[in-house]
Amino acid sequence: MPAPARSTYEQTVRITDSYLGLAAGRFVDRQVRNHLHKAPQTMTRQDLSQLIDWIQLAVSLLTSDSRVVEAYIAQLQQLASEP
Amino acid sequence: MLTLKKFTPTTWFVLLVIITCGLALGLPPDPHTLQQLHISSVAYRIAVLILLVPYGIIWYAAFYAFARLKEYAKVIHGFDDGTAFRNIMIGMGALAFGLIVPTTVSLVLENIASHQPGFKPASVIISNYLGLVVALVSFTYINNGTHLLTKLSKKQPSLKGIRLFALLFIVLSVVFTYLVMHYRVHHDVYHLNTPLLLITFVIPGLFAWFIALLSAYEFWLYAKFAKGLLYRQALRQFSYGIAATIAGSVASQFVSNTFAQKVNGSLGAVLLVEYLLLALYATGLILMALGTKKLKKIEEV
Repeated sequence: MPAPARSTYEQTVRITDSYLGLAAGRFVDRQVRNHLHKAPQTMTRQDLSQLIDWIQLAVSLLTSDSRVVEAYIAQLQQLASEP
Repeated sequence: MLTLKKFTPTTWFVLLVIITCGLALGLPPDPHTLQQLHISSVAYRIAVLILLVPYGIIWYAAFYAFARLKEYAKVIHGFDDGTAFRNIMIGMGALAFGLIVPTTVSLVLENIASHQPGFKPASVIISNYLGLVVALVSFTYINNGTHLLTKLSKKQPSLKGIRLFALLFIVLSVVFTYLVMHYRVHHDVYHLNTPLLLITFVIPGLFAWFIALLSAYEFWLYAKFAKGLLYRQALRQFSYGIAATIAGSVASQFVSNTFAQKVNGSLGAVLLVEYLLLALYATGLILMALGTKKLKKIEEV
């Protein structure tokens, strides 16, 4: 039986997990609630494009290593561009 | 109504420092000591206050680290790592209080003993057991937290790591027991008979140190193998801090329970060693506080 498709929220958390580990879920939840003003599970691909800018800003406050920020954002942008 | 629970770590720190300094200045000095040192009671009190300054710095570092951890544990409350960090926070709180309260109690007990020599053995026994209880409570909580974290990261200690850890701990235990027995037999500094000393002081003390060192090892494992590049970077500083804090704490307890018992904490080489260990302890606490600030920042942006 094929695995159920992951929601945009779950895929975003999965990518974020590589950077923020146990804090990933809380981080994505906070960004969605604070900037998109909606429940995290209801977020869509269209929302992600808007959220990426906020995430980039937030992660830039956590590290001065621009390569890490760029790699993370590139993964999110790829997810946002998937059909 | 203001309850004790509402006191912040900073309030507690200020309150306890005032009490300790008040006692150091207010309690009448031992006339025998004044005669030995050829100083007036005012000079003696000033000397005691100066000697307390390095302790004040480390007490502040401990309460600062405790306050930062308390804030972080509150932010992640309800999550799996929240329970783990809450346990570590409680353990650190016990360690912070455990740095000041036994010193304050010792000040009072030693003062009573200086005027009533018959009370001296009881004073030593109470001070030693108080230090032991603090170590057992604080390290048990810290270990509960670090063990939960290793379960979350699903990373168990390696065979090589366990063997090295066991070897180091056995060396520490043998040296400590040898020194305690040496001071017991030749100087009777603990005022306890051998079976009682071994069962109620040496074994629980070694157990507390075992779980303390295990906690440092477990947290190092967690910080090294936890998921998340940026999360790991924040954990690294905390990991160095917890390792230095535990090493400083165990080493200063080692010195105060062995060499320092003989010289009774007087000025000299032992005091210098104790201050160096306190410096290690304070460095660890500051690193922990800075690491906690980084972890908290992840939860705030």
